[in-house]
Amino acid sequence: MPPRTDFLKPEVAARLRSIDLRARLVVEGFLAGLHRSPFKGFSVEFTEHRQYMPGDELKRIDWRVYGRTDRFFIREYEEETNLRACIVLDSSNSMSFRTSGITKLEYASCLAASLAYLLLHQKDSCGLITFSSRIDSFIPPRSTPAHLNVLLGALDKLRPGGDTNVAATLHQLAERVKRRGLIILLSDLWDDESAVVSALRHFRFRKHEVLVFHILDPAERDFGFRQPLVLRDLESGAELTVDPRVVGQEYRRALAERLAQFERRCAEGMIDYHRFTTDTPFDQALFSYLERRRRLH
Amino acid sequence: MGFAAPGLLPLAALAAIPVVIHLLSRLRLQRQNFPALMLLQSVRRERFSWLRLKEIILLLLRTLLLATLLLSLSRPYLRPRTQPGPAGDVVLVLDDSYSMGYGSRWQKAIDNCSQLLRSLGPGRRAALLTTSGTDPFPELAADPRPRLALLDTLRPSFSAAGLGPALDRAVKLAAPSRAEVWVFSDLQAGSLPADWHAPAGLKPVFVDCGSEQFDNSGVTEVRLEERRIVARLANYGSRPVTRTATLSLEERREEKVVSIPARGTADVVFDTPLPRSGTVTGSVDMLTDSLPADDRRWFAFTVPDEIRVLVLQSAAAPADYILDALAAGQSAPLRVTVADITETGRLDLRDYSVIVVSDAGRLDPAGRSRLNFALGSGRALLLMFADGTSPDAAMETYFRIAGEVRPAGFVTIAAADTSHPLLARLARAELASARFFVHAKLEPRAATVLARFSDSDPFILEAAEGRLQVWTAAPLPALTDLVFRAAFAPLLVRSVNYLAAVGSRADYPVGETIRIPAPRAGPVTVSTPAGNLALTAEASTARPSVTLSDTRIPGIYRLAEGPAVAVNPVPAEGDLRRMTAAECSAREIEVRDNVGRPAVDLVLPLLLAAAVALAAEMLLLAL
Repeated sequence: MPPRTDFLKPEVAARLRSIDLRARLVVEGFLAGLHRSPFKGFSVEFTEHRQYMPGDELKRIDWRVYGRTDRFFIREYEEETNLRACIVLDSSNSMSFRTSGITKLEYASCLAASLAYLLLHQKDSCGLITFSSRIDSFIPPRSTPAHLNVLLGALDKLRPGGDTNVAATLHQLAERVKRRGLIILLSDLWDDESAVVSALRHFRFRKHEVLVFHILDPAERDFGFRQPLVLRDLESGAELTVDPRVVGQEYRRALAERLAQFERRCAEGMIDYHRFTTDTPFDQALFSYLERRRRLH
Repeated sequence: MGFAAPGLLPLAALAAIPVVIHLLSRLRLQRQNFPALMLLQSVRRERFSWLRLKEIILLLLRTLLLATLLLSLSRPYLRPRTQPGPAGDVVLVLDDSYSMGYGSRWQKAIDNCSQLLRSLGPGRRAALLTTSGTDPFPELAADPRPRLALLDTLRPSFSAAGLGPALDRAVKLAAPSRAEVWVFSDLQAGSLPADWHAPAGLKPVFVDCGSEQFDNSGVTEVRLEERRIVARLANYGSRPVTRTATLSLEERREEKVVSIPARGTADVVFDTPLPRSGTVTGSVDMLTDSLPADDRRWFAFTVPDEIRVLVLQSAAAPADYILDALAAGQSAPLRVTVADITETGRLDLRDYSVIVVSDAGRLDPAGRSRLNFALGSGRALLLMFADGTSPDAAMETYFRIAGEVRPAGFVTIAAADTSHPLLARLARAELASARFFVHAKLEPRAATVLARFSDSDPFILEAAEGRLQVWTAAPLPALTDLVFRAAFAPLLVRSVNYLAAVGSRADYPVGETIRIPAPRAGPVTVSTPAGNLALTAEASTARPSVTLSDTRIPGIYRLAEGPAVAVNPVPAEGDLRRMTAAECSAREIEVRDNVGRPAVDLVLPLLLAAAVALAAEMLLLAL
């Protein structure tokens, strides 16, 4: 069996059939790779006292102990589960694209499972919403350990299908998810960029924190085709004959412009935007999540 | 277009291979799912891109390369679109008169001549004649290569030789072998003698190298007139022109601007002073036009110390008025000697430049014979006929005497050729007012009428190249009151001066054999435009002379320490008017625009095209 950190590589993780096993190994590999966790000690559940040291925050001094002992002690807490996270996963046909070992949907599913694993093990609530041109499934956030099986089961059964309609679906979701929390969107975002960003802002309007994982295939990023070929759209079935030598440079320029637009507009809307290709190790995505999680506290 | 190997022509269909491959490759394009089609559709530009264009050009070049190579296997050739050329042996007559130097006429003639020679099949013979008589290949021979090589070296001559003699030679050469005669000419009006007709069964084919449109002017004459040089410029074109005439006399130059009417002439009088006596040589030039050969005219004049004039009178026709008139002439020093007509046989006529006979009708045969000899040896004669002219007094070569006319009243001068230098600057009104009561009736033969009476009879005749002048009425009060008119003295003096100038003739046409008087017999050196010639002056005639037979180049031909003569092209050749279609038709002349072109082999051009296509493809691929 490969070392645990190897499961952070998408091509290695893809070899595992069970999404459960995949998520567990990814997260364990991720945790094993952490040299110094910056996330320890953020719980709100009391664990122990320790003596005050210069530099500690005054608000954390336990004044009752001071009253009893006339000495300064600091209360230490375990992290409290009060985060409601919704993983919103795009399962449209465009997510079935792959030029290497793993499709965008498989990558996103694995990432979603890993996130769910992490969330539930930190006692957070986690839900899962899959969509294409509409909302396909809606699993509300819960924090019970058994809920992980529900989520992983749903992810395991997930198959690509339908057209992409990101913006409209996100608007629907923004109306549907009442309690504010963390919205984690995993999608290739092949929709009108203004509409997508507008829909994401809808979440922000509803006081949600939004974390976007924009997932692309390396071929979508690089357009590394060599010979003239006929490209077929995965959703509409439309075909286009292209000569990569001719349109490659122009495509890459347009894509860079589109991605820059996403970054800029998401930043303007205080939306965390991260872009990954399916050959990016999962730990980068998990770090992005943890960074966001830390900022929430 | 035809094919020498038509069986291989279907192979040309293989040229479609690149197109088929291209289409197949389009059909077999790999199909690939791709989610970002919406982005691609916005950037698709391949239809207009250079690469797309390059692909199409490459396809075309490859198709062209294959097509040309495969097509060349069937050995294509281009059939001529014009009439066929000669079928058998051929005698070529090239008009090399100087009018062929106008515009592109000469090049067209050479090109057609060359094409015809190349089109001759194996074993067919050709001869090449020219109108100037140089005849580079006067015999029929089979190998055309020497003729082709020579063609490029030929140039138009300065001659004005007509087509007649060359055609006669060609017909004579062609007749035994029934060869065809092809003539390359500009079909200038008058180039064919009026009585020339092609012999039966041998009709020459004329290839027309000329054009209807032309614009030419030239110097047609330079003469000495009252110690001044006068040039005549002619405009043969249909529009008036302005030209600059330049006199080059020894080291001096003088320019005059002159306007010449359409199809007309204009005289230019130069003011450059001449030496008192001696030989003067030079030229009059015009700015060159499309026919330069006639734009320069050389001259050589002998300015005499004095003009020695012999006046022969009779008792019936005393020369008093003649003598008075000659005495009044101050423009040239005249030394006049008077003798009786009966003494003609005893006088040494060589001592006189001009001989004036006041009663030519009373010359006896011996006298006429002596005068004829004097005329033949370069003297000039002015014959006047008085009352009682006998028909026996005629000089049959030039004129015949038809009797004497005594009109009821008088006749006047009704017509005068004012273009002639003699009459050019006389007051015509003065001449017209003179009355003539009796005059001889002459019928000119080899003579030109310069002035006519109102009854149409001639008054002044000119013959023997200007050295013989005849007045049909002598200046006697009983015959005419001309003697009392102001025009009389100038007319007579001018006539004597003109005759004296013409008598010392020093202007010859190109190609003419010239006899130049030499100071002594023996070896002499003659400077010519082509260089110095060592010749021998012969003393077989009365005076030693040198005979020059090669005068093909215009210019001054000068004897060392002796006289000079000028050789010039014949001015009439500069008139580029052409034979009309009616004239050609009347003479049954077949005229073509060009010779039949031979089939053009297309294999080499096709291979060249293939090489170019290959090179272009390599270049395109390297880009």
